[in-house]
Formats: sequence, C-alpha cells, structure tokens
Amino acid sequence: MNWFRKKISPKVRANRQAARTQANAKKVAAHKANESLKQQFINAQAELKADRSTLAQRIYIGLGLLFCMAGAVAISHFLLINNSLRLDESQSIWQVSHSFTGMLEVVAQDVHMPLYHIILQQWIFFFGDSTTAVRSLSMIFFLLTIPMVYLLSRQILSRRWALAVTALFSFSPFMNWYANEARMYTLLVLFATINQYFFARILKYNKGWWGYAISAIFGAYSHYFFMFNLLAQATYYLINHKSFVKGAFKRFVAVMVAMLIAISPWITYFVMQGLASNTRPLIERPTAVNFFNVYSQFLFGFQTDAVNTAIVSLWPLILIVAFFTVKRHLKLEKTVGYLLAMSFVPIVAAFALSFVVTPFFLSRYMVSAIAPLTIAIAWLISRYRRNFAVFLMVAWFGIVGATFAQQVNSFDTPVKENYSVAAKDIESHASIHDVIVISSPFTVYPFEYYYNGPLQIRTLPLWDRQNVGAVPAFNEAALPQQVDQLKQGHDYIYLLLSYDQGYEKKIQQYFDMRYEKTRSEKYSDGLMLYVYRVGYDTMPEILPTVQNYQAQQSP
Amino acid sequence: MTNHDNKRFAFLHGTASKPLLALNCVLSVLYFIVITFFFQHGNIVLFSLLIAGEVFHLWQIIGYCYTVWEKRSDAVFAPYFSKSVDVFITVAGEPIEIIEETARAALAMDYPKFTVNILNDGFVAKKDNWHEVVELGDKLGINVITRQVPGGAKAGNINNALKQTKSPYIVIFDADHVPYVSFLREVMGYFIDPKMGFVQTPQYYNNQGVNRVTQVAWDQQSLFFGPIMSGKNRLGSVFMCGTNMALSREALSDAGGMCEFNIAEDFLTSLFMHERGWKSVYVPKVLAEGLAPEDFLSYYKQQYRWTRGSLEVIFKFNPLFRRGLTFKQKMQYLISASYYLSGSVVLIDALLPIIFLFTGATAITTSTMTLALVFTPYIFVSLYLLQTTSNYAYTFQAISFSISSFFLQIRALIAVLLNQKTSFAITSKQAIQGNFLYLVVPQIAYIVLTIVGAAVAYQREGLSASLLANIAWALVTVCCFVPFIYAASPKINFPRPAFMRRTKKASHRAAVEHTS
Repeated sequence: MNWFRKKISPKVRANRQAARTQANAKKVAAHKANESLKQQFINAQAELKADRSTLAQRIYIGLGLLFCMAGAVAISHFLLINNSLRLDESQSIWQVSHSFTGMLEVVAQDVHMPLYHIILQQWIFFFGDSTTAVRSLSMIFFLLTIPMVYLLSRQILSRRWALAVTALFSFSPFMNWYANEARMYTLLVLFATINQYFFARILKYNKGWWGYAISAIFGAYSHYFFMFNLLAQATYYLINHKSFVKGAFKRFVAVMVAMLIAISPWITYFVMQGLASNTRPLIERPTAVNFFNVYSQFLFGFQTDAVNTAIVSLWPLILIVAFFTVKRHLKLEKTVGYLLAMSFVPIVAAFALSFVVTPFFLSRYMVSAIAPLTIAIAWLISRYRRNFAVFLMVAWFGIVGATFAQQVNSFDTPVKENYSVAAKDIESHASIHDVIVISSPFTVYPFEYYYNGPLQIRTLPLWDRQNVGAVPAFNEAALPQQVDQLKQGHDYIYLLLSYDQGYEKKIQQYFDMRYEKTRSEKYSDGLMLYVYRVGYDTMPEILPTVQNYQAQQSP
Repeated sequence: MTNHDNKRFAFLHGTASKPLLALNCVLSVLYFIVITFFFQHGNIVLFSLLIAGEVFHLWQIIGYCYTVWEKRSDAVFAPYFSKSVDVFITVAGEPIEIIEETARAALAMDYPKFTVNILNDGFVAKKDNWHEVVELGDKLGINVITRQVPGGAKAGNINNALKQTKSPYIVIFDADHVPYVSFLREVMGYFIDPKMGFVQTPQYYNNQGVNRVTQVAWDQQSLFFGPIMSGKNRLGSVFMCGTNMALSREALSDAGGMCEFNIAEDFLTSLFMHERGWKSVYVPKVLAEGLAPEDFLSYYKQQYRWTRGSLEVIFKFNPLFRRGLTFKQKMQYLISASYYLSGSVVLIDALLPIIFLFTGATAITTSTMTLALVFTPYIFVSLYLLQTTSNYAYTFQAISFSISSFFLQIRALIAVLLNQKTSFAITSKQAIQGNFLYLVVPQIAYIVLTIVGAAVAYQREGLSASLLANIAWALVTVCCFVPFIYAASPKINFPRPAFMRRTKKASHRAAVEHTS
C-alpha cells in the first residue's frame, strides 16, 4: 500500500480533503434545511389546529355551501336541464346502452377513460335514460365539487373569501353548462379538485399522501386529460422541490407508479382496440385565439362570436392586472404559486402538444384549471384594501351574472345544439316519401334520440352503423353516386348539417347546384337544415304528412 | 435588528433567481423578434417608432438583468480604521429643527476622530434662517462654514468647505438625513484600500408613510438602493447620490472637486472619479434616515433635476467615450442615465392607440391575440422579476409615477438639447399645499383624447376588435396616469356623511393593519 500512498501528492490530498469537507458541509446544510422545513410543517399544522372553526362558523360555512349548491340546482332546473341533448351526450347514452363489455369496447374506441360510463350505466339502470336523469349524474359530481373548492380555497384564503370564491365557482357559466351535460367533465373536475387539494396539503403540511394517491387513480380513470393535472404538479415540484421534505420525491414516484399500475389494464385494452377510432370529431390546430378563448370561456362562459371577440379583444387590460400584482409585500406564497401552475401549465402544455402530437385543444378538456384560476384571482383581489377588494368581487359577480344570462338566452351560443327542435320540426313537415340525410354521420345519435317519425335516416358519407366503429371518410368522387342512391324513390331530401368535418360546404354546394332548395332553417349555431326537391313522381301537397300517416296508423 | 426593521429594510434583501433573469431576457428578445420580423408591418413611420421604443425597452430590461444578476463585493473592510474625518452637513434654508436633529446625530456617531461641519448656504441662497444655523452651530459647538460667494449650488458649497477643512476623508449628509451612531464605523473601514474613492449607503426616507407622494418617492428609491446599487457594486460602478456617503479627499481633488456645472453633481463627479481609476463601494445597510419630498411640486422638481442631470451625462459626457472607464462602468453609466429617455418611449407607446383611434393607422397588422400570446408572458415575468429583486418592495404606484413622468422627462430632454439653464432647486423638507394640476395637463389631455378618439373610431368602424384592443391599450395608460393626476390635485376635505365616517373601532383596526 505504501507505494500507492507515495504517489498522491499533498496538494491532491488537500484538494480531496477540501472536497470531502465541502460535501459534508453541503450534507449538513441540506439536513438543516430539511429540519427547518419539517419545523415549518409542524408550525403550520399547529396554526391549522389553532384556526379550527367554531360551531357558529361551521354553521355559517355549511349554510354558505348549501346556498351555493342550491343555487346550482336552481340554475339547472330553471335554465339548463331541458336543453336539447348534444352530440356528445347522445354518444354517452348510446355507448352505455351496450352490454358492459360492449360499452368498454366503444368507450375505448371513442378515446375515453371508462369510469364515467361505468357509473352512468348503473345510474341509467336505476333512474332511466331521460335527459333529466342522465344529466343529474353530472350535477351530483358538480355539487360534490363545491365543498372541495371551498377546502382548496381555504389553503390560501380566509373563510369569507373562500366562500365567495366557492360561490363564484358554483355560478360559473362554464361549470354549470357541464354540470348539465351527460358527460364526464364534472367527474374530472371533482377528482382533479380533490387531487389538487391533497397536493396543496402535502405542500403546506406534508400531509394527505393517501388522499392524493387515491384521487390520482380515480382522476386518471375519469379522463385522459387528468394527466395534465399531474403534469402541472410535477412541473411545480421540479421548480420548487425545496418546499418539500426529503423523501417527498420517492413518495410522488410511488404515487405515479401506483396510478400507472392501476390504469395499465385499461391502457392495454385501449391499445388492443387499435388506439383510436374514426369516430373522433375533427379538431383543428389551435391558434392564439383558441388559447385565450379557453380563459375567456372559463371566466365568462360560452359566448356568441361577437361577444367573445369583444371580450378577448380587451386583452390589454390584463396589463392592469399585471400592474396590480406589483404591490408591497405581495409575496407569491408557495400555495398560490402552485395554484397558478395548476391554472396555466395544463393549458400551455395542451396547446403545445396540439402542435407536436395531434390537435386536441378543447376548453372542456382543461376544465380542471377553473377552480385554481378562480382562487388565484380572488387571492390577488383579497390582498387589496377591503373596500376596493369588495368592489372588485361585486363587479366580478356582476360580470359573471351578465355573461351567464347571455349564454343562456342567446340563440347563437356556440355550444347549443338544438337537435330536439330540429327533430320535431322535420317530424311535422316531412312526408313518408322523403328521406332525412345527416352529415356529419355521427350526429345521427342525438337526432335519433329525439326523432320519433317513420322516415328513413341516412348519413352522408353513407355509413353502415352495423359495422362497429368506423365512420367512412368523405370521398368527393363518390358523392354523386351516394346522393343518387339516397334520392332513389324520394321526393325531398331533408339535409341536416352540423359538426362540420371539413366537407359540409362541398355537400351543400353539390345539392345547391343540382336540386331546387325549397327551405332552409337554422336551429342553433352550426345546426342547419336544407330541404331539396329531388323527385317529381308525386305532387307533394296531396301526399300525407307524417302526422296524417301516424293518425292513419293509430286505431 | 428588530422584525420591524427587517420589514422596513426588506428592499435590501431581494434575491435574483438566475433562471428567472435568463427567462426574462429570452422572453423579451422573443417578443422583440416576433413583433419586428413576424408581424406584418402597418404604417412605416408608426412601425419604426414602435420598434425604436422596443429597442429601448430591450436595452433597459437586459441592462437591468445584467445589473442585478448577482450581489457580490470584493471590497476589503478594516473594522479598526480610524483616520480623521470631516463630516459635512449641507444646509440651504431647511427648518432649523431638522438641521439640529441631523447635527446632534452626527455628533453622536461612534468614531475615534471626526469633526462635524455645517455647510451653511443659507446666506448665498438668501434664506431667512441662515443666521439661526450659525447660532445652532454655536449652541452645539459645531463648526459652521457660511459661504459668502455664491456659485455651484450644493457642489459649490462642498467645494468651499473642502478648502477650509483638512481631514483626508469627508462624509456628506443632507440637512434632513439623520445618521445612525454606527455610520462611520460601518463605512470608513473601506478606505483601507488606498484606491477607494467613495462609499455610498442607501438614502432611506423615514417619512414614507406621510402621503402618496412620499410613499411613491420611497418606492422608487427602494428599487434603486436595493437590487440596482448592489448590482452596480459588483460591477464597480456605484455612483454617489449626494448624501449618506464618504469620500476620499484625494480622490475628490483628483476629480476636480464636486462637479459644479451639472445639477446632478454627484452622478458626474462619480464618473470623473471612476475614469481616474478610483474605486467605489456600496454598503447595503441603512445607516441614515432622511425625508422624502412631501408634496407633488417638490417631487416633480426633484425628478426634473435628476432627469436633466442624467441626460446631460449622455449628451455632454457620454460614458461610452470616456477613456478611463471600464466596459462595465461604461455600460452601467449608460444604463442609468438612459433610463430618463424612457419619457419619449412612453409617449410613443401611449400615442399609438390614440393615432389608431383618430386615423385607423397601426404600427403592426396582426391578430391581436397572437400579440397577446407573446406579450403576456413577457410582461408578467418582467414584473415578477421586479418584485423578487426588490424583495416585494416595489409598487404599482411607483410604476405609475415613472410612466406618468414622461412629460417632465421630455421637457428635460428638450432643455438639455437646447442647452437651457436650470437652477439647482433644493427639495423642500416641508409639504407645499396647492393645486398642481397644471403639471399634469398632458396626462389629463391624454384622457380627453382617448374619449374623443374612441367616439371618432366608433363612428368610423363600429365596435371592431381593433377598436376594442386600442381602447384597452389607451385605458392601460390612463390607469397609470390616474394616481399621478390624483397626487397633483388639490386635497379637499369634504365633510363625510355620518354613515361613511369610520368608527373608532374601524380606525383602530386600520391603524393596526397599517402597522402590521
């Protein structure tokens, strides 16, 4: 060994010793920082205990939350629940009408996680498939989310402010829309909010790991886009890992592994089904307008193009908000930073991935950002003088109320799909020698839900629905042949166009150039009916109408 | 240091996250590139003006990031340094009780060997109380140097005192800046380095809570004496700020004494010292407390003086062409002095939406949302950086006053270009009551123009997206002007109806909130 020792010069030895000392010092510093962080958590927990609500406060909070829930139910009952079923909703109903395994198959093909459909199938079993019944399930998820939003708000806000934020969330036009839609978005929001709440508790008190893990698993089973929630948390952790105690990383990894194991059977099944079907609607590559529309919709709901243009055109006013963040001692608390991450990272990531992978940028997919966004804005307002802050909150409520009213009342609200009116209208006008042609083909589901007449319902492009999954692609060359096939033996074609998949104009032009258009009708934004005369074998006025036909059939 | 002091002096402890600084630079450059090269150009004149403004913004942002990148000082400090010091208290008609407080505090400083001198300029400034200062000197046993021959304003007063004193080091306080006992102990040790020219400490205003003007004056100072001066310290580019500073007599003599031909004498004297190879250091500790201007007129005059002095440095002593300065020093002097050119840029930015409203002409033709996509992250990160580096001491009102000072900055620029004379006006230590709305006529005119322009544009094109976006831009500027106009307006105390009056309990609560 001596020969080896001799070779190490004193300088090298000294350097090594210095490096060892430095490494030890780093370890000691890291240990001290960790101990200090643990102490902070202990202090935070003690503060939390000291700040427990009194009985009177609990009653007050309980009443506040009940008021919020009752408000949401009232809005639903009086304004939204009776709206016509939308395409997506009709698909949900159609999907769960299959056997359990059949349902899983079509859900996988529709690129969705199955939890909502499994619950919906059981729900329909007990309560039926009326519009009110199927939508009530979403409303229940929404009502369960309301107290969770309060709890999440309480991580950074006082009781009063948390209640105010919860009220804003409860009366949000965007949330209320999806609380009255037979889709999985309120389920996604429920688990995302629970998950966000437990992450905030981990950040603040180093508590809530089990809740976090369980909500992550259920959240992942509610929608693929729940992953953006986890992505935002991971981003926050990477930037602020010093705010977490030693060992937090391992626990996060464990949660992610558990979640991945839990969803792996479904992912395997999904891959085996061929990843995706052709039933997906066409989503265009997003633009800057789409990006800001997401926030506009989160805050002000779905508006007509004119109103929405006005809202987003006023974007430079964001600069005033930015200036208001520059305030003495207005330090960005770590929980606020976390909520900001939850408000922006999912949207930015989805926007970026829509360019890299495939366009999937739809505001409803990022719905889990609404609660954190609302809370973060309210936090900024709450930092200002009381009178000014109250004024801003009242103004906010006023704007939300006005935009909600506009969303409900406007005929052109973009998310409205008035298939029920369209079906009733066609039912009352068409004769038995006519044919109904629907494009895009998958919009046949909501139409069929409402249409009770005897006429043949066909699609363009022609689609044989007995063949599972595949909607045939549009072929312009085959259009004349397909139209000839459709008009065979019919006098009028009732062409119902909605959900443009890029060929709507071509179909309409084809008909316009060849056949006499006898009528056109707009039922809602993007839902148009055109009636073309395609046959002259019989005089239409002497033909029996559908009502006459039904009257003749009835005893 | 108590918790209260920790909060008061929080501005000294801001941290600059390097990734955030880098991100801010990247976003600024990205924004600049996008609007310059990727957006369709509109009216060529407006586009050129916009780009000129953006080049200036880019320069300021990158300059700021470069300055605050790191806090480090290699200066050597000898705690037992004890060479004799002449303490100068510059006086020109300030209230006698203010001078007395400063003089007594100066006498109480802990240091082996120093002489306090009051430099009484009241006689040459034709102030009534100049003889009271002499009496005060007699009472306290302080040497009073009363100048008989006018000239050179404050710099002339100091130069006159230099001839009548002998200590190798000088410490200067304005009449209202009360030093702490430890001032000399904390400062003089840096002169162990024979090439140390001067040591500067923060200029802290203890009357910041008096009103909006004092508060804003301090908020603006906090950014300068917090991250900026600490950054300049690293780059060997600290400059003198006229008070709370110690100088080497040799260095000052080498620089030709305090510069008498510029109203920002301290700034230019620092430059002369640096170009002769003298070093400087900034001590980021509050060691004296002074008074901010308490009224709008005094604030306005102070800002005008600083602007004029700084702009003269650019146009008459351009740091880029000073041979003795290092590259870092050249950059730092240029960044600091050029800040006062921002008035012209603010005017350009403010006028672009107004021009659109009246004529329909735009600088760039693009989807307003694409602009939002590149602008929003850039502005939020910039403001967040401002907050973290100042340790959350900066405020919207400070930004508002900086933006609203555009007109006085343009006036100062014109005065420099036309070589107009400006007298040195001492900042008043007592509030002057009155209506100063005449000083904010341009800002009021802007609001009127916005309203009229909006009506004209509505007639022309209805409620278009461009109209709304331009109105929103104009409103942002209006929002920045409002606190400035409010500060200039006369304060009328209308009797409040009973229901609006604060109860005793509410007043107490507000007071507690304010204190906490």
